[in-house]
Amino acid sequence: MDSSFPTLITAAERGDSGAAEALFAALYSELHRLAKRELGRHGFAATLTATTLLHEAYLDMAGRNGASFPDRARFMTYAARVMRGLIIDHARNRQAQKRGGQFEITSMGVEVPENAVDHREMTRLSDALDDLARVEPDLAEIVDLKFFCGFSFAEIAAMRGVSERTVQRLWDKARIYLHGSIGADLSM
Amino acid sequence: MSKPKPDLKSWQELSPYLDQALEMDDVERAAWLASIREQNPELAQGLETLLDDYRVLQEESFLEQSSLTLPVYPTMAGQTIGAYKLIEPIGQGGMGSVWLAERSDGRSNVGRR
Repeated sequence: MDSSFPTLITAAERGDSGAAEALFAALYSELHRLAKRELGRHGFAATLTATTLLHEAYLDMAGRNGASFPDRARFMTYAARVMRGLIIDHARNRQAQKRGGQFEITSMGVEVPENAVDHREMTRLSDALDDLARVEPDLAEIVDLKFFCGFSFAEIAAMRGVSERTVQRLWDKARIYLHGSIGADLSM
Repeated sequence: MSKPKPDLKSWQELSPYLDQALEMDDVERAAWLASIREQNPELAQGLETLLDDYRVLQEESFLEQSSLTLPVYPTMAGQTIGAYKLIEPIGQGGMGSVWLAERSDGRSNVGRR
């Protein structure tokens, strides 16, 4: 998959849906592999954030692919969408009580427990985001980067080459859409 | 909840107006909405619905709790902490995880954070 990654991304950007699926699958297995490696390396009491994982993934994959690898901002656009899928799958596995051989994902705020987001709610959020992405991909991408991957407004602004104010506005717009679409009975 | 969901077509019509509205303060926005209402009441109504939703979601801190982390579970299984050997995770709290553990000296199982 290493040598084909830049080719896949170019084909996906030309609108090749088969390439987009292959790209998603390749990134998914890569993120999953790296998550397991990182978790194994740090041992007891370590936590791995989505942001850290994506940074590691970029360094790792860019290092192996050389000059043909896409720039960081372009990579993150795809990887953040894949990360959303990975997070939801793990939330689902966790709630299915499947243990052993898998790491888990949880929401780690200070007073989270009663707030913990159900994987069904996350799936509905994800479906609404896919709808939104069809008409305003920028908005959906910002939700992936911010909500699912934990990037700050400043980081997203730097990646996009826009002001933080602009990122904030796009984030608010995306939230208005999502709130209207699914927010009414969602506990997020 | 009988509120109609925003369809993508009307969303696309309202989207550029929303960009403008989000750059304004409340006073500016009210005047701006009033002037739109004179020309196109339907558009003004659609925008007001979205902006009301915006106020609600801000109060709810909708989607603001976002830090999702991947805690280490399986790699910890089998490790020994003091007299306890960790067997498997049995729960997750805000500050840590709860493990089923056994004493290396063979006494009964306990939960350990």
